[in-house]
Amino acid sequence: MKYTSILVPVSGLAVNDEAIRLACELARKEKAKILAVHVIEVERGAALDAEQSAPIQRAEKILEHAQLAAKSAGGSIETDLLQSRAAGPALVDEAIERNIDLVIVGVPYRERLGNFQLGATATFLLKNAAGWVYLCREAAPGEKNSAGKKN
Amino acid sequence: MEEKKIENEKPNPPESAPSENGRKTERHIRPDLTAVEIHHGRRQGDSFVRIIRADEHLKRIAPGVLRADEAASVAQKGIGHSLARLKAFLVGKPLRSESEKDERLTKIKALAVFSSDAISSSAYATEEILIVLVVAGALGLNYALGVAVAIALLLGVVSFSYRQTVHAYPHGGGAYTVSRENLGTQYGLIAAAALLIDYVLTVAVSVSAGTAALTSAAPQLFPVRVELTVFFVGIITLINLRGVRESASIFALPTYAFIVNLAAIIVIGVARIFLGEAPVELTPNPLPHDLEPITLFLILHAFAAGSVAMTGTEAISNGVPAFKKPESQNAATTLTVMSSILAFFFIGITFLADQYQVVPTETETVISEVARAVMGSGIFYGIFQVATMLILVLAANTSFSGFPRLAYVLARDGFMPHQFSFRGDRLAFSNGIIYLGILAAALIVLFGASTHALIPLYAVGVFISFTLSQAGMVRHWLKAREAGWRKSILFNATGALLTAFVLVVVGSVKFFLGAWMVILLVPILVAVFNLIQRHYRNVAEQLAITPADTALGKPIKQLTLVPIHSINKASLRALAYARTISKNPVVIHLMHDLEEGEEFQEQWKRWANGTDLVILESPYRAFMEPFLAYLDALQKNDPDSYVTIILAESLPAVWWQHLLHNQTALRLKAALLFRHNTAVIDLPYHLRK
Repeated sequence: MKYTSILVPVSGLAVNDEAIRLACELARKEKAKILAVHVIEVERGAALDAEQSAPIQRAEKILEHAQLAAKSAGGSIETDLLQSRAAGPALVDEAIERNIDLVIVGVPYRERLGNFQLGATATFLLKNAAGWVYLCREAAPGEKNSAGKKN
Repeated sequence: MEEKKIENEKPNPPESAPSENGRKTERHIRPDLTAVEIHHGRRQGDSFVRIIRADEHLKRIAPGVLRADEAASVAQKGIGHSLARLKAFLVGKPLRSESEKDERLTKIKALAVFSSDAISSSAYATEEILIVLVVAGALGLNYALGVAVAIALLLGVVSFSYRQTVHAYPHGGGAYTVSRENLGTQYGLIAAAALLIDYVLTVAVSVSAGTAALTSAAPQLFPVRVELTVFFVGIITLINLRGVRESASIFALPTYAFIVNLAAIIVIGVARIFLGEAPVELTPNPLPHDLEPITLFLILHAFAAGSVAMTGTEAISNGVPAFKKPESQNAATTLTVMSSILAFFFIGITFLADQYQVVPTETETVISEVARAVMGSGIFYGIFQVATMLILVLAANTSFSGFPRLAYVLARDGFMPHQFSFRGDRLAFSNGIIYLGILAAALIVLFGASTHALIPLYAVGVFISFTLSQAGMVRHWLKAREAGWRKSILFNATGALLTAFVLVVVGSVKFFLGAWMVILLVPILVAVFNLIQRHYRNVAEQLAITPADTALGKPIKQLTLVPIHSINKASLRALAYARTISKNPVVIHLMHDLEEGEEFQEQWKRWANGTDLVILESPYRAFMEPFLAYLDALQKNDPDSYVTIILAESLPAVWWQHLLHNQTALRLKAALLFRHNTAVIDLPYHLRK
C-alpha cells in the first residue's frame, strides 16, 4: 500500500502520541504528509461557527503537543482545527476534502460493564471513512506499552 | 478559488465558493488572523467549521490576542535574516520572556556572578596597604594586620547593613533605591552616578589588571596590551549578552578555582607557621632607605588604600531579583558567604605576609610572594597564578551584572534613556551591557590599559554609594520602626559614619591623583539624569489625557493629497488608495514646462478624470519647495486640519537600480517627516525587473 497523506485525529489522550509516532514511521517510508486534526464538538444550542474561546485554547495546546510528539518521532505534521456537532462526520468529510489515504485512530483501552468500548468516533470512522483506517489501541491495563512500560 | 476578506468592525458576510470536491464552502478571515471556513458535509446536518490559522508563526492564544513565536520575532529573509543568524551564533537563540524565572541564579552561581569583584580584590588589597606602610619600614609593615582587621570589621558592618537592605528591598535595593526613597531623589541620583562610574572603572581596572598578569608572564604581548584588554572586554560583553545564567556557568569555574586555591594556601600557610616550618621559597626584598615616621595620616592612608577590598560588596543588593526564590533570603545568605570569604582571604593573606615579612616590590605581587612562600613555585603555584589572573579579569563581570540593572532601574524611573530598560534576546539588559563594554573600552584606550593610572579614580564612587545607602537605611528604620529597628539603626549608622570617614580619606588622599575626575563627573551625571527626566515628564504631560480633552476621539478633518508626476500604474494605484480614505482626494502635479503639462492633462482626462487636480507651475524647476509652499498655504488657512500625503513610489527589483532613480519620494518623505499635522503614506509599487 502507498500513502501520500495520513490523518490522525487528536483529542489530548496519551494514545494520540502513539498514533502520531506510528504515522511518522509510515510517513517516513512513503514520504507522506501527516495531518493531525482536533475536533471541537459544539453543543446543539450554539451556532456551529460560534467563537469557542476555552476549547480553542485547549485545542491549540493539543495540536502543539501533537507537533512536539511528531518532532520527537522525527517527523513533521500539519495541524487542523475543526468545529462540528460530532467529531466522526467532520473527520470523515475532512479526510475526503483533503484526499486522505489513511486515517490512524488512537484508541484508549476503555471498558464499560466488562466490555471493551471502541468509542463513537472510532466506530464512525471505521464504518464511514473512504480510505484505509488503522486502529492504534493502547495497551490493556497491566500490559506493556510501546515504550516498554506497564500501563 | 475561495475569496478572502478581512473583517473590519463587523464580521463581513461570508463569501461562498465551491470547494475542490464540489461542495460549497464559506470563508471569512478575522482580524486576529483566524479564518472560519464553513464546510457543508456530504449529508444534511454534517456541516463542520474549519478554523484556519492564517499564519503559523502568529499563534492565536485568545480571541483578538496573537502571540509571535520565535520565527516571527526575527527577520526571515534578506540581510536582516543574516544579521539575526550571526547574532544568534554570537549571543545564542532568543529566550521567551517567561524563561526569565529559569534565568534566575542559584546561590552557588550567584556567588560567582556577584562576588568575583569583591573576592578578587583580596588579590591586591593587602598589597595596597603594604605599599603605603612600607615607607615606614618594617615597623610600618607591622601595622598591616591591624589595618586589615579594621577594614574586615568595616566590611562586616557594611555587609550586615546590606543584609538588611536586601530584606527591606526585595526588588533590588541598591544604593540608588535606598537613597532615593529615604533621603530624596537627588541623593539617589548621586549614589547612582557614583555607582555607574565605579562599575565602568571596575571593568577597566580589573580587565587591565588581568592583562597585566598575562603580559608579566609573556612580555612580548606588552606592546599590544591595549588591544588585548579591549578584546577581553569584548569577550566578557559577548558572554554577558548570552544571558545571566549562561554567563554565571562560564564564570563559576575560575571563581571557585581561585577560592579553593587561595583557601588552601591560607590554611596550609597558617598551619606551617604554627608548626614552626620555614617558608618554602621567599625572596627577601629590601626595605626603602629613607624611612618616614608612622603617623596617623599614614595609617589612615593605608586604611583608605586597603579599602579597595570592599568594592563590589553592594552588587548583591542591586541584583536581588536575579536570585531564585526566596530571593531576599538567598541574596542575604550569598552576601554573608561572600563577605566571610573576602574577610578570611584578606586577613589570611595579610597575616601570612606579615609572618613571612613580605615587602611589596614592583616586579612581583604580594599574593604571588605569599603563594610561593607557602607552596613553592611548582605546578600548584602556576595554577594559582592562572586562577588569579582569571578572577581579576572576571571581576569585571560583577559590573556587567550591576551596571545594566542599575541603568534599567534609572531608565524605568525616567532618569536614563528608555532603551536601557529593554531586555535583549537572552533576557539580559543588552543595552546596558553594550554601553558598559563601550565605555570601559574607551577608558582602557584613554588610559593605555594602565591599572596605575586608573586605580586612583577607583573606590571614590563606591564609598559615596555606601555612605548614602546606609544613611538612607538609618532614615528607613526611623520611619518604619519595625521589630529590631534599634539594633539595625545602630549597625547602619555606624556603617554610614565609617564609610563617610573612609570616603573623606580616600577622596582627599587620591584627589590630585585622579579622584577629582570622579568628583566632578558625579554632579555632571546627576544634571544629565535630571535633564532626561524633565524631558520624559514634559512628554508625559503633553500626552496625558485630561477630562477637558473631549474632542480627542472624534474624527479629524483631513485633506488627502496625491503628488503625481506622471500617469502610470503606480500613480493610479496611489490615487485608487486615496479614494479609499477620502471622498475627495486632490492630485498635485508639478509642471516644469507647458508641453509636459499639456501631455499630463491629456492623460489625466483619459485615466483620472473626475478627481480634483491642482497644477503647480514651477518655472524655476524646483520640486520640493513649491510643494511645501503649497502645503504651508493650505495649512495656514486651516491650521487644525490634517493633510495626508500619499506618495506613489515605484521600487526597483534590484538594489543597484535604485541608483538610477532620483528618489523623489524618499526626499519628500524626509522633508515631511517632522512637519506638523501632516501624515505621509508611502504606497510602494514593486517592479519585477
